[in-house]
Amino acid sequence: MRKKNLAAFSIAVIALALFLTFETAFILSAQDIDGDSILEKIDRNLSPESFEAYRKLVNIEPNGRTKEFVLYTVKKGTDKVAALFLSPASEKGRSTLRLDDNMWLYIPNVAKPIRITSLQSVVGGVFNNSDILRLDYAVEYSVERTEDVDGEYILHCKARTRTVAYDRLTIRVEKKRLLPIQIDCMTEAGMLIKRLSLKEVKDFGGGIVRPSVIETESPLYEGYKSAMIFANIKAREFKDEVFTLTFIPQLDSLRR
Amino acid sequence: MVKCPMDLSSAKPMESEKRRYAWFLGFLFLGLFFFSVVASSQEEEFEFDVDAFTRKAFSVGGYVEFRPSLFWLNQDSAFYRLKYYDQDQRKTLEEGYVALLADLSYRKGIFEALLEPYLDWTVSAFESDAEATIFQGYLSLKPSPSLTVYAGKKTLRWGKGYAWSPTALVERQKNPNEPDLAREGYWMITSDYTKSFEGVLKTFSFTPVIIPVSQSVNSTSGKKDGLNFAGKIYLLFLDTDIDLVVLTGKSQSTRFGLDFSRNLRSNWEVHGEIAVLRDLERSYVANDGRIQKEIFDATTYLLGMRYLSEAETTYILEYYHNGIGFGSSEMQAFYSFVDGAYQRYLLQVDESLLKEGAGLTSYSGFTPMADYLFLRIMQKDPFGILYLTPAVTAIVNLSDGSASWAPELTYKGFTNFELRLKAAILSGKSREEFREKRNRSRLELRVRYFF
Repeated sequence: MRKKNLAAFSIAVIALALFLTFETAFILSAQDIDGDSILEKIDRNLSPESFEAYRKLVNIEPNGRTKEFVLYTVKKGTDKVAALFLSPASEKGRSTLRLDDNMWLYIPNVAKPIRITSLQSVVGGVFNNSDILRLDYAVEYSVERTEDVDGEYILHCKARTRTVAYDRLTIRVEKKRLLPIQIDCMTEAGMLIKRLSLKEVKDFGGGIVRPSVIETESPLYEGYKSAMIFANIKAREFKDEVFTLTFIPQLDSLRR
Repeated sequence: MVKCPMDLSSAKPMESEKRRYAWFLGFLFLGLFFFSVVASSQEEEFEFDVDAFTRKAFSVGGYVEFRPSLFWLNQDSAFYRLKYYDQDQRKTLEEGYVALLADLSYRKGIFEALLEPYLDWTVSAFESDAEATIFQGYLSLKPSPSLTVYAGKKTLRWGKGYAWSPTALVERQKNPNEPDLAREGYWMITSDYTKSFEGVLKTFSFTPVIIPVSQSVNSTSGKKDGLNFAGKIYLLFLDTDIDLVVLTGKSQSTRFGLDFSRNLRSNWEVHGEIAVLRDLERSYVANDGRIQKEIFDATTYLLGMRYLSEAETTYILEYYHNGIGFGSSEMQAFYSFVDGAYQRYLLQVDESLLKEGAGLTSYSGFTPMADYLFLRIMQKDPFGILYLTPAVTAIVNLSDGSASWAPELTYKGFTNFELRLKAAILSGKSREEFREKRNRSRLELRVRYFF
């Protein structure tokens, strides 16, 4: 009996030791998660550092009526992005340029770039200029806290400067592929401004596997919805001079 | 009474169970069908045929505009008398305006050809006038993003001001009531050379321009035939847009200037312009009522800001000092001249002085006096109505206190249509600028269809 008890006690101690070891390891690994490096990986999974892409923006009104815009976008490095409207005809030729925190809008008839702000929207609807001319998340945000919940990371991000459109982001990330599932954009006080839902993961070729649709809703636009659909995302290098006020009227010449 | 479980396995409950099962399957299939319909329709909603947007060598675009207007005329004003002294006297004037601006381009490799014809037709009780103009028409070569060379008729838009641009040395006068309108360019050879850097100076651009003037080319750009030279240096320095501009040559007196634009905060932009104009020549009405010529130097400047509030209201405010503008006493002399000329026409049917007055174009410009304030307030999507933008624009003449007030409603909710209802009410006393315009107020509907 004593031997049996001793064996049972030994098994229990080993099991407890193993449990404590794994549990400690799990807690340590959760504490060791580097949110900023996850954010950087998310950025690279969403797009190469320099790329070109086509996007369709769809504004959906509460009565179901839609209005669509098609844009050609180019980005280089961490601080340069430009977009050209291809459709509808009323917006064709409009271009937007972002160089770090500076943003400009070029309208063909006006033929003069004017400075715009990240909170404005050149298309109307829930998407604003900073959504359309987005730089890498890791450039604009740092991760304050990371949670590890049921196959997902939850990244609680804070803006690095006050010039960005949203003070705080909460990003739900699919752990396996490190792709964002949902992004809540909030004010400093934590008030929800808009929610982005990233859907329909697609292989764009060249190693780019990412959500192809971003749906947006905002409590500020009750009943309205916007969606951004991606196509032809390709890694491509550009000269710095592409991202200048002089070149902005000529963005279309980059399209092949 | 509580039924025992055995009751549930009796024949009748089995039938009702089958019926329920059948209903369930029916709902399931209906649900699946409905879901598939909704899902397929949602997929259609987010379909993106990117091949439809492949770049083509030929491209055609532009817009057609219809603009009926109603003017409430001011028969006692100086400019009504100068313009309509020999017409039937009317209190109101209905005007129809139709225009087509087309944009035709051909691109192959580094080569591009662009043609922008503008056709318009104005019809009213006073006139019926059709015009065809080439706004732009040029060939360009882009060997690299750093360098582009243009030859032909081109519009250059220099300056940072919204309503006025003192540094816009190579363009036709901007209408502060409609600063966003497309305008005709000049024939020229020009190029853009750009270089980007890391550091406080991010961009450097140089734009040299050669503008020929003769009786058949750019005839409104100067009096003497010959070549004129202009240039612009653009810098993005310390996150500030800075332009240095110059124009000189045989047809134009020398002019130079500087402008800047910068964001103080992400929602608050400030801008300014200053231009020095040498040896300007103009005709004016002297205090003794005679028309004289003078040659003078002038400094024109503008300070402005653009602010976006949290409620998405945009405010554009600009102060403009027009160095070539007239003072109050000079304008009074002009109004007295027109009064006298009109009396002479009534008494002696002599229209010569009225014709002379109409030829004094310095007085008939958009803002002919010295100091103005411009304010435009725009509200995006008010009351949750997407694509609707109400706005009001005020131009106040600080020299005499008269003003133009223009409320408007713009709606862009229908794809490729833009609808705008705009009114303009001019306030002021007799012998003040806006009171002496040909109309007291105006109402217009502008419909544009883009293709």
